[in-house]
Amino acid sequence: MFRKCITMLLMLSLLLGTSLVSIGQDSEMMEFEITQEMIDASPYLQSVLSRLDEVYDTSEFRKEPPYRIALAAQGTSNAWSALFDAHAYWWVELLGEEVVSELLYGDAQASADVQVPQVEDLLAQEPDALILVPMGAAALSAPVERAMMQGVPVILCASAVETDNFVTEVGTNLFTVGANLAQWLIDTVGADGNFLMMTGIPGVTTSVIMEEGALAVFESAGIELLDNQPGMWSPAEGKKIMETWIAQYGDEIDGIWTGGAQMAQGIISAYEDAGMEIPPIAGGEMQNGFLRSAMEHGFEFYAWMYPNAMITICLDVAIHVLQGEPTPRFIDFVDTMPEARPFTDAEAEDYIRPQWSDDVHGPILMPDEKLAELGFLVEEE
Amino acid sequence: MNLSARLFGGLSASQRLFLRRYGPIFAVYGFIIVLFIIGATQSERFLTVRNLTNVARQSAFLGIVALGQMLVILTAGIDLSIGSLVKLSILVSAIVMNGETNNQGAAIVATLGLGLLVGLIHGFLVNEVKIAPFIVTLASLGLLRGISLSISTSPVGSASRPFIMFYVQKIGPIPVIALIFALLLVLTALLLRYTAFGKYLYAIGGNIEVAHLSGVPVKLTRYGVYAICSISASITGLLWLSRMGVGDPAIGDGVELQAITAVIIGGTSLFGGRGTVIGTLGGVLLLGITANLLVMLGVNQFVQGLIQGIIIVAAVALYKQEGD
Repeated sequence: MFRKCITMLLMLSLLLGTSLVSIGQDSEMMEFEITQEMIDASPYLQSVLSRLDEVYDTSEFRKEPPYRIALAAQGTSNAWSALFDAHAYWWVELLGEEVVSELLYGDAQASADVQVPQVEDLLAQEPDALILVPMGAAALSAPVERAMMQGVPVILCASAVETDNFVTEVGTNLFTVGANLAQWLIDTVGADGNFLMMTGIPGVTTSVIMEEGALAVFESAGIELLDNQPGMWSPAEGKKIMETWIAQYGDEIDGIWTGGAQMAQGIISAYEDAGMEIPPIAGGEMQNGFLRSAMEHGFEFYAWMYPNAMITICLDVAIHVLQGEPTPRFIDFVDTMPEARPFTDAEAEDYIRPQWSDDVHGPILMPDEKLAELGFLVEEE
Repeated sequence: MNLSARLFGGLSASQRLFLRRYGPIFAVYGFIIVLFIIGATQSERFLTVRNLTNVARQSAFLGIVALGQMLVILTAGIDLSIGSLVKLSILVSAIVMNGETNNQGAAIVATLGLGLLVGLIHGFLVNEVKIAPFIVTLASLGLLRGISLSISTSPVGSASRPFIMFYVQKIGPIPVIALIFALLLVLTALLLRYTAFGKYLYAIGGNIEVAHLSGVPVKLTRYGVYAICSISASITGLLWLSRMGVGDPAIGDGVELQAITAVIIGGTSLFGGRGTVIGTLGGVLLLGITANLLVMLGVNQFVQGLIQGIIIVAAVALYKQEGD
């Protein structure tokens, strides 16, 4: 029964994946070449690259189902994380109680301060496995090591930690993502352009690593940025900073690198207010609000994806680990969810979903009925 | 007839005084008992030794800064900078220690020295430049955060192996970190009850002019109290380093508000002159157990903010009745 269940779910995920994979397959994406110098300078890259060929022997964690899985998540601090959590509960429901009897949940409110004690609270409940969305690579390293010492396998989801003592990481190479965004900007505008960078939250791994990748590219191209400020993944903060930049640099701005669609929305809004033409933006996402604005204003952009639906992969991997199956130490979600690939303004129409509200980040695996329950569908007129 | 009169109507004067003084503290501990009952009935793992020692250790982090904050608030002051100082202390201690056991002493001295320095600067600005504590420490909050993020926006330095292992050390079933907090609790209680310095804090908070005219060394006391508060933040920074093993600038934001919340819930008046260590302990435990229980029950953390808000309003309402 249990195996049937797993097989059914894997088939379902494959079906969902293949149904979406055809989108924009013919587009050409430029990839940045990682140099040895970059690898030497980045512990993150060294860790990811070294784990690409490694497989973890999980036989020590083998247990009979049902499993109690702890999820230390970012928390419902924005739409991305709310949909991440919704995917988690939806997937556990699909798996059934005979596979996952309990999902122990910790909501970190996007803060490492909150998450560190929360992981301790979750471990005190002696779960079979811990899925962690780390809010700080360094801050969560020791708690991860303590979990492994306790015999709880740790599956990192969506981000990394400093230590190498965990079972596996589900995510993508964030250094390359940041680098590719920067490379697209240079290819689009030219290396003599004036560029600005707006990063996420200082200290948060996703933001820090993407920034590292982008700076490596800008530096190797000999580009000196006009400015680099944290936009805190907030449209409001993004707009505030962009307003200042417009006042300071005006028409000199040739392109903007941003670490997320929320900030891109703030950037667009600031340009709308200023009545100026929007320069190329590297750093959009499959987010309906961003795509609507982009199509309305017709500026050039390069978007990447960081699907909240990757939690379904993380849950599957946790079960895989608890079955004692050998597990790759780095699982790129793009390999399992090919629809989560980068795209440009040329393909915007393929990615917008009229029925979704502006804050929905795709791709979404849940049916629209689930989105409707969560209030992420717009009313039909 | 107000709530106080209705509640205490049939009691003698001494009983009324006792209840007015300690009633709110009983209420806080009563609420803690309620949380224990909820935890015990709703989660089979809540009352395990593992979870309770976990709560005790976690409470130490908030408790130590809350004690420092309480002393400042007793003088009608406030310290909004402690979260940023925790952040800077983590970085300084990690950088100085740099993973070497031999550097532990230097890291501890440098970090506590940093706390002392920041506290003395606060004291100087409050005493000599006559800037309100709120403004001084608000500016310090931004300044120390800015310095921290200028040092690094990504993790730096590291703790030595013995320093990391210190976090999980226990004496019997009790974590050493919880014992350190208990020791500081006792020392603070003794300081307030049996030393002139403790009495000066209440006197300054009660009425600074009268305290000054009565010969209380107001400036010296305020230098001392801001120094203690900042050192408590630095101690917490060191504990965080032990907890994480590396210097992470992501830590520390919002600690000051948590500490102030615990102190208020514990019955310390924001206007100074009134407050107890046992009350602050109650506030710390209440917040710690609430956070733990919400994770145990899988409740969204936004509910925690809601519950904290309700607790603060309820506590202040109780203390207001006491004041009537």
